[in-house]
Amino acid sequence: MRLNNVQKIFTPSHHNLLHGVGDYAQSPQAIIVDNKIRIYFTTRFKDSDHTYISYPSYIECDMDFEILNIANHEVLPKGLLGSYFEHGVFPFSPFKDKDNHISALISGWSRRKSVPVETAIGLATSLDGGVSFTAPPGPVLSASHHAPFLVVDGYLRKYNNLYYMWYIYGVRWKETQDGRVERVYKISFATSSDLIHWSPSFQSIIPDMIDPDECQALPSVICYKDIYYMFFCYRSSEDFRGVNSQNSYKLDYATSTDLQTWTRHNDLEIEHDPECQMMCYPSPIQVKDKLYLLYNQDQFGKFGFVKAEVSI
Amino acid sequence: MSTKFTWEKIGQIFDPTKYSSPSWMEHYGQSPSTLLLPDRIRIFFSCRPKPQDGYFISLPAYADFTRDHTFKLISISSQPVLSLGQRGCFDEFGIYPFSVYSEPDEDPTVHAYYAGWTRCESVPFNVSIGYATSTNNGESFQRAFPGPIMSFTDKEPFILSSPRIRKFNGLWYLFYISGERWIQTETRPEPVYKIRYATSTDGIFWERSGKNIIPTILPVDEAQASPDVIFYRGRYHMFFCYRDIVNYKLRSHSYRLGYASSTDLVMWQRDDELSTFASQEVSTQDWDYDMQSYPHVFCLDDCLYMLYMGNEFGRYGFGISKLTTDA
Repeated sequence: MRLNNVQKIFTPSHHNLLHGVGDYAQSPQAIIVDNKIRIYFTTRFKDSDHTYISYPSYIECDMDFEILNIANHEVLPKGLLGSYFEHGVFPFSPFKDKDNHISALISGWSRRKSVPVETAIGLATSLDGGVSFTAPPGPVLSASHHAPFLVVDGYLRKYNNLYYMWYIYGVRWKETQDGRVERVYKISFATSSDLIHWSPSFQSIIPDMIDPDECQALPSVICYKDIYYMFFCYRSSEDFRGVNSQNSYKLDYATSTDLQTWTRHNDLEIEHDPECQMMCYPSPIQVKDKLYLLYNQDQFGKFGFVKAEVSI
Repeated sequence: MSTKFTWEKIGQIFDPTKYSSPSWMEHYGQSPSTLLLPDRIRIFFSCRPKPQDGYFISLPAYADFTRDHTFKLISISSQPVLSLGQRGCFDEFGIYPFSVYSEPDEDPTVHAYYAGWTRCESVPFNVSIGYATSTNNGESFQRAFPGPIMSFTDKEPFILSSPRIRKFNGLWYLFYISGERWIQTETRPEPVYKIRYATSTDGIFWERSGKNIIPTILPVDEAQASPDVIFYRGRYHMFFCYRDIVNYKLRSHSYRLGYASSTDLVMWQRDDELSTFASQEVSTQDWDYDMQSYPHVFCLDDCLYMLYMGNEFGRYGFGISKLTTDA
């Protein structure tokens, strides 16, 4: 598999969003609505205590990815006091059902004392075709049994009359030599018939490539020419924020024919960009017959997102 | 026909502040739960070491008492019966309450369902329910999973706590409380929570009814806790406690005991007047004058007893009362 024609689509600092000039545009995820490509993402503002709060927004593009419209309204109200998303939503994962009804899985963040955050995945629904959403204060998937914390990155699709959610869950908080705590997380999946009650598998479904502390994130799945493709990103558990591109997020993919067992390929070719140290938060979208991948680059998407053509 | 429960106070039977207890049992003896052993009554409870940086942790332990109906203290556990959870886990900062169940004729395993506490930033804490087992009569427990067995849902967004585990008619019943909302008061956010129940065939995966089952009687924001259920004389009886969410350190707003009954464990009729203490002389100095909470009712040789904790949320331990009347 190869990614061609990598092209920047959206630079948040060039635009006014709900809370002013955009800062970050993370985890681009697209659906096609009325013959337009609508790309949801999450951006950030600084709260009264100068900490970041992440919230969803979107742009609309024509079928050639030219921007037509940038949302600057409230796509989702802030989470209530004590709720799982009171300190932000990231990622925001839209889903268009067969009846064209649009909903979204939202990954909610709330701050903790001994570790930075806890997360959970909730369902947001829309009555106006995905322009705005509401979500109850509780999640549909959160820590339980073998998944003790950091259930996040939910991605929703329906195949064979069953809803599938791919997500990640934390396996441990690691104390590093310099006294930080860093998370280790893996990809798993759950199924549901009603979007509310989910049966998680509680198992890691993608083998590690780096080491047992490899962090895998943002699994996104598409059925293309009768094969299921899962795109995701992965990184080392330490020293992954800076310019050490050896340890930063990279992209990878896996394939499946039954949605149960996945083969990880680790053969993704990407045209070399010496300026780019990081590639993360991928999601596929098929436009006409072509498969595209949207993703973020440096600093976890602080400067926006790109698209690439996928050739298989 | 309604059963009326009149309880005669026997008195305080355990106060951790009065013994040379270990440093991790400096004070508190909260939410008693019994395990009847052949030669003693083992009462589990949660206790606390001195706070560090203003924060408490809570640990489960037990005290053994004579089972000759005099409830004399025999010994206390040499260490907590379950350690706190790993970093970032739901039970990293506290295990309270801790409710046990066993059927020694069937299986020597002791099952414990407990509320695990984590510390948050905007609100003080969050709570969810975990599961642990013991194969040595409760000397020590091992958690079955690193995560909780009851997770948050769209209808139960936070604070799943106060578990009471029972088995009726071959089915596991977990009575618990679920947080409705956090209210920003003058001092700090306070949660409002209500009693609910779930059932399970394996004790691990639970079906929740998703509804509050006990009507409120306070005008606003009643918080309910410790739903302790027994089957007695053809009905199910629930003993619980409830309080206001503000000024609840004052006697007038603090925890007191409530009562409801049911024929099917689904529909409950609340009538707090049907479970009361026998009229006895009361003093402001009494260990349970300001507060009575976290009741636990158990049967010993055909006598019913009710354990409960007293002032300052059980800082000075728990006491016991005996059922005196039948109607």
